Amino acid sequence: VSVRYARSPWVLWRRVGDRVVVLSRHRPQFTMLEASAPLVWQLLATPKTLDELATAVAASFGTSPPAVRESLAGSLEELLRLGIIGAIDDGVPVASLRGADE
Amino acid sequence: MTVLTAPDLLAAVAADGLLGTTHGLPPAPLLDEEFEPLLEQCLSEKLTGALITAIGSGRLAATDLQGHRVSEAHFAAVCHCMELEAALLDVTRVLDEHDIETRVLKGSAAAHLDYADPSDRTFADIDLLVRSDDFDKAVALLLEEGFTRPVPEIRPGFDRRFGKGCTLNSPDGYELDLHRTFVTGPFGLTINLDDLWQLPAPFVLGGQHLMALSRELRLLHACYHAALGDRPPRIAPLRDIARLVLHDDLDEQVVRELAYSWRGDLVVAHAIRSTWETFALADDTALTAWARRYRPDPRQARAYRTYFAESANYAARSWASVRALPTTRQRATFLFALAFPQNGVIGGSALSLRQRMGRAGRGLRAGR
Repeated sequence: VSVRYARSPWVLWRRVGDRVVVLSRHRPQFTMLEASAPLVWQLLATPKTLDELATAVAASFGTSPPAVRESLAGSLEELLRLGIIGAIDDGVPVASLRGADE
Repeated sequence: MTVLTAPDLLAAVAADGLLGTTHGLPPAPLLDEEFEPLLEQCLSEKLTGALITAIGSGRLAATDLQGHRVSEAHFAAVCHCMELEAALLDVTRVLDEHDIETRVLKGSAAAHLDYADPSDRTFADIDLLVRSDDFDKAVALLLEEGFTRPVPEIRPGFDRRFGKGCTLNSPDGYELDLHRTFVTGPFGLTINLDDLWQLPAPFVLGGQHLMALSRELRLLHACYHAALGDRPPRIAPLRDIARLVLHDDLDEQVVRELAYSWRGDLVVAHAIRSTWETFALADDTALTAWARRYRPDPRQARAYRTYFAESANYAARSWASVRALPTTRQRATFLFALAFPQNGVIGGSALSLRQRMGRAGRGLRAGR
């Protein structure tokens, strides 16, 4: 559980209203973050573990961390797959959440 | 109830959030037939950020449909800016690999350095400054990268010595303005170009470190762009000017000293006065008080007329530039290039020698 997640520095992004739009320099397509994803993006300005993210997101939505943990893990995996966030395991960057879990 | 004209409404939207503006916004939603032209103007003036902020804050009333229309238009504008920034990173990387130093001008630099939220400042092209000595090499490198140059150089070496720069079109269809100075003509030639490279302002974009002009130079550039570009001036640079002048950390003395040494006081005073009038700003600073008191220097006034007099054109401004050149040799080279352009082409149009002389004559009269 030492894996920490953070925004990739190699992306361009803007907040537009309640959405965040991200453009990866390595993949010329836009990713639009909506609903709770902009909050996750904001939190990932500094590296965070899944538990830290779950605690912050749950507090924001008035629920418990276990209630958001699973969907949050899925979102992180998707963001990793798109290459717009990165994961660091004990200081070593890993390619994806699945890879990190394994 | 005061009925706002379309330009007043646009200015009021752009001024929204600026300290001291006395412009007011309509308290009730506009009719759709009033709203659509406003949205169109905001799109063409790159003001969708101001419009969506005014609506989002509740200061400009809008129907749900109007809000949705603005939201979608702004979203598209922001995405386009990000595509331009991705291209900007590619261009600066290519130039950097060949030891060509750059400064990011206007759009992207203003968005990241002068606005709390970069989405608030949209733009339509990329503007980059390179040193005169690097100019030809930079153009050649970008042509190798697949860029095209729609308007050819008047004569080899002309841009590097006398020009503002040139426009290049990327293979993807976006426009890159490569500058060596701020503007064409006499006011561009009296700028001490070494000044432009002092005290850069760094910013990070997509993990890449970029350099922009210092805050004072960004203000001066915005003034030159606003005062010598379109008439009436575009609103986006005026908005940049207002934000920069009202910034607590602006060194107003540096701005005035540089404007004076570049013989550009008229340009700066005019741009600042236009900004304060357009946005109906009530609060004065030392710089705006100076701009209000400024009396035009006759030589600068003569040069200024070549940008806007009825008969002014590229040649007129170029002739006026002769006065700004410091040496006889430079004047001779400049005049030779105008009289005998490469392939008879000036500014993208082929002219006979007689036509060139005719334009030049009209230009001289406009410059007097």
